[in-house]
Amino acid sequence: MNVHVDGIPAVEPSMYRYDEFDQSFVNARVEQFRGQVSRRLEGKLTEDEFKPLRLMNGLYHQLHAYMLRVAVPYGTLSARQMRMLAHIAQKYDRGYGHFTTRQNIQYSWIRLEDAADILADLASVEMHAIQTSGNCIRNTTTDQYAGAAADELADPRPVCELIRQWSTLHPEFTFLPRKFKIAVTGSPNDRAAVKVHDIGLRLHLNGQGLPGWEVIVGGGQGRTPVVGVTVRDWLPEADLLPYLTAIMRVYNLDGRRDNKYKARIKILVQEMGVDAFRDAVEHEFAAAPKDTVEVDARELAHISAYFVPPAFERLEAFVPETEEKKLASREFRQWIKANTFAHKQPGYTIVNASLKPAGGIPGDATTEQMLAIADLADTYSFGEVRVTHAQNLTLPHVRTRDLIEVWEALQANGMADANIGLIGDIIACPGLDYCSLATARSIPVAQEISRRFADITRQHDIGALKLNISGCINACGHHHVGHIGILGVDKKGREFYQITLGGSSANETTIGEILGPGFGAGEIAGAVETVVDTYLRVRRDPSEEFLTTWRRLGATPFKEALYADAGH
Amino acid sequence: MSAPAMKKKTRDGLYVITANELLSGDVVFRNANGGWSPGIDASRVLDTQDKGFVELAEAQKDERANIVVAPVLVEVTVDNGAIRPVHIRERIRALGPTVRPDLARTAQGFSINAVEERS
Ligand code: SF4
Repeated sequence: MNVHVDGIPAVEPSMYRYDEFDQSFVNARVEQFRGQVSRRLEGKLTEDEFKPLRLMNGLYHQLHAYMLRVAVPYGTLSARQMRMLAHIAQKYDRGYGHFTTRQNIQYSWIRLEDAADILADLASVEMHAIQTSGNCIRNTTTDQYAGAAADELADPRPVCELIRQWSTLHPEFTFLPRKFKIAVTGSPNDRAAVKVHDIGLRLHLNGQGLPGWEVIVGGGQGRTPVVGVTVRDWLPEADLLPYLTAIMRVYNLDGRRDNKYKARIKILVQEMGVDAFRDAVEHEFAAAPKDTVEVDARELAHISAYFVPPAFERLEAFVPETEEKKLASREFRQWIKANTFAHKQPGYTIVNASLKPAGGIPGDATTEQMLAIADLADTYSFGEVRVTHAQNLTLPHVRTRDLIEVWEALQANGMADANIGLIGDIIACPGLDYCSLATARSIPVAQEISRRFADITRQHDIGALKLNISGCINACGHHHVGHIGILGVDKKGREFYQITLGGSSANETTIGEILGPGFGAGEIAGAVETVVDTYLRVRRDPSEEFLTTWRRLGATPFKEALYADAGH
Repeated sequence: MSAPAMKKKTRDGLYVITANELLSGDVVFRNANGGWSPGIDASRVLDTQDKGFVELAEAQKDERANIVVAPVLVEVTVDNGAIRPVHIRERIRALGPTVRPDLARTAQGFSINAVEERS
């Protein structure tokens, strides 16, 4: 049994646990970093010498201070780990952390002298900050509902863990042309944005009804947004690692290293052409020794054993008290509609805790909120929490009969805004308030928009609408795939914002289209309101979602509304 | 990084020197005594870029002595003694995130008020 940081017994969640090798490896890395920090502080390492070492351990230097990025492998956390994240926020930071679109957490006020102690604390709960920086294979991301969603074919996390083990400090892949991101979905409804990653893996059935992986390569956001292309429609699971290895080899050999903006695999795929790229991968794959396949299969079976579903009770799907509460309370009804999702086990429900209060900072959670979520996970969700790429938290396995209590507890902790997937659920990167690469602020724009749309009933009337904001062209805020995307730029020393419409990272992935000239900081929230009002005016009926209306009508009505009186 | 990422060409203007403390990572400004202060108001203001580069060379000694990291020149305006960086990025660096006034530092010459900063 686990004992969490306060000494209170915690529930054993269904997730990967470090073996002796993993633990001693992570512990050794912490001690190594402690030595490197000491040498830096003693002046034996210059900043130029030290910088790559700290980055390899997730320690960046941002606008105000050191920032530590902690990996949350495929977004899964135990309650015990969440308590440790809260502990770090309290002891070493300023009482909060920021959950990112990569399902990680960042601390923005870290002192160099504390960094090794923090990593040691993380190691004690089987966490680290390795591979959160540099030109390596980064943390694999996945569906936040993995292992719980009613619509999934299989839990993708064992494969994510297999990829993590294969890629962690893989000698061939620690010095790639650029960083490399892999996303995996086990559901036919993509919630992991697999088509805008360097590699996306989608589990599906072939003509014989057998599960296998669609391999999508060359997607990405940043300054050159591209929707990935399928290089293999169906790959048997046993071939997954040799096939990924073949892709990485082609990239490592032929990927450009002369220009950092042309070094991602998406550029290689475009420059070679999809067919030539596919041929090169297939050639490499055919030539690869197949003697590892059995080892991989054994390892995958070993890993899968950690992810056995929790001990669900046999429950009735219909819970009269919950239904009555829905009838009696509009607030509760709205929360159920937006913030919960169908679970594969009858009588259970997936619950999302919103980190998007009106006027709040998207993705920020206080120490108290992290502790509250950890307690809720222990009491109601088999000790499990997920971090979503939309910067919210998820309790994956809540009994439907406990929903009222969970809702009340989330309300008490400011995490019950019924806005998941609605306009208030804004994705925003840290932007110029924190990030040294930023050209404009993102958070104040998100705050202003979420204040304008604070009325939850209005948000529900508007319906599904994803609004994403990035503070620079690097697109960490996923603006290219927002139904409404906002990109902050610097125009002669002033913050300026471009609007794109029609992006989506769902099954039919599309890159948003730039509408026209941008807007000043004082105008951007109003411009978004104009876009939304236009949609409400031209949609066929309330069941036609924003994206459908956009795809039906295109830019014209939105352009007319935005630029008609603006003199643009 | 030791070299300033600025053009060597001399320009008129007022400058201060900023860096981050090695140990804490905190933003600091080079003060009149040649030390480092957390608030921009204590900065020594250099009235030409040439003087700025001379002072920067001094500041870089503190980098080599492992007191600060990445000292750079920042262009400012001074109005009635109140120092204000020209670029919004440096104004935010001096005060802290504009979205967390509870964590903000103060400066005479400008405020954390988001609207004012964004105009
Ligand atoms: S998009 Fe730009 S501003 Fe935002 S976090 Fe990424 S690098 Fe920083």
